[in-house]
Amino acid sequence: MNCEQVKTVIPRYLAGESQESEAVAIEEHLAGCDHCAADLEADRQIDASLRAAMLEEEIDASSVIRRAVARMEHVMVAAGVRCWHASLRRSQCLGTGVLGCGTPDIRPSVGKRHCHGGGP
Amino acid sequence: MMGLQQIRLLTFELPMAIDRAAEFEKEALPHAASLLRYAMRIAGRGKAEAEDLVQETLLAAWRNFGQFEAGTNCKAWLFRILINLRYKQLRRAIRKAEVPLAEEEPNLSRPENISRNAEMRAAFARLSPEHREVMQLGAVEGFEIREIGEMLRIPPGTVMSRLSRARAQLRTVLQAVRPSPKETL
Repeated sequence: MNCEQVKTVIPRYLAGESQESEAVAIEEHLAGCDHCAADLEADRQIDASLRAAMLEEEIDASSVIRRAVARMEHVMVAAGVRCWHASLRRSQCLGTGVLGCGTPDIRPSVGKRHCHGGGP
Repeated sequence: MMGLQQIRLLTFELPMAIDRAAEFEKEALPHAASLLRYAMRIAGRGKAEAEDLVQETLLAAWRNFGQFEAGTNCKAWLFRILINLRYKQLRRAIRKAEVPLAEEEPNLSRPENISRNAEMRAAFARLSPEHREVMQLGAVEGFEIREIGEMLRIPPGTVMSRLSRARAQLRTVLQAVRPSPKETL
């Protein structure tokens, strides 16, 4: 492989998705080419820095989940199902997920109004 | 507000949606934060619009949960839905000849104490939408090149070339705003 060929496939190598033969050819090239090796290292650092920068910001999705579940409940109630909570009970798997026990209760009030027998 | 027509559409697949509610809660809802992060960075019109997009994504996913094969990558499936919905919105906006909001020019004139992470986010915001998309999906969310190609409906080779160009551009922007060691002496 020459520099141009390596440049074309380096994103796949960086993602850990190169097949063995491609990875070997790239590594052979990198061993003898400081320029490509430096580019690869810079790309790695860019990815790590970007990931850190994006994940530093905590994203609070509770409000959007609450709104989405409220809309789902609205549909269920219109169709005669009492609430999301009731549908969970019906599927016999209550309290394991985002809306279940041990997590902040973000079920919409419209659902609670329809619930019988309290929460989980 | 949801119109009657939408309610009827949702009701159509309701029995499945109800029976698999717990599975939906376990498989899909935990990815809401990733979807929101992507929508905020890519759709680029503020948190309220990003939340609307994610909400529509979750509703569409719930409605179509029967098409999701258990054991496959639910996160990738949700991202495909979000990206499809976003394209639809963009097409609708073009048909209505809406003028897209001017993107805020990120402020890179740096106070000395600006953090490296903030610098990176500002540099990222200067990339083209195509480059932001692939970097966010690949470097941040960890999707495979093939998956990104499927989501964006572009060949894997295009994903790779966009990734390369985006990384090169980020390097250039960051080099421009970060003083070299010599300058700091």
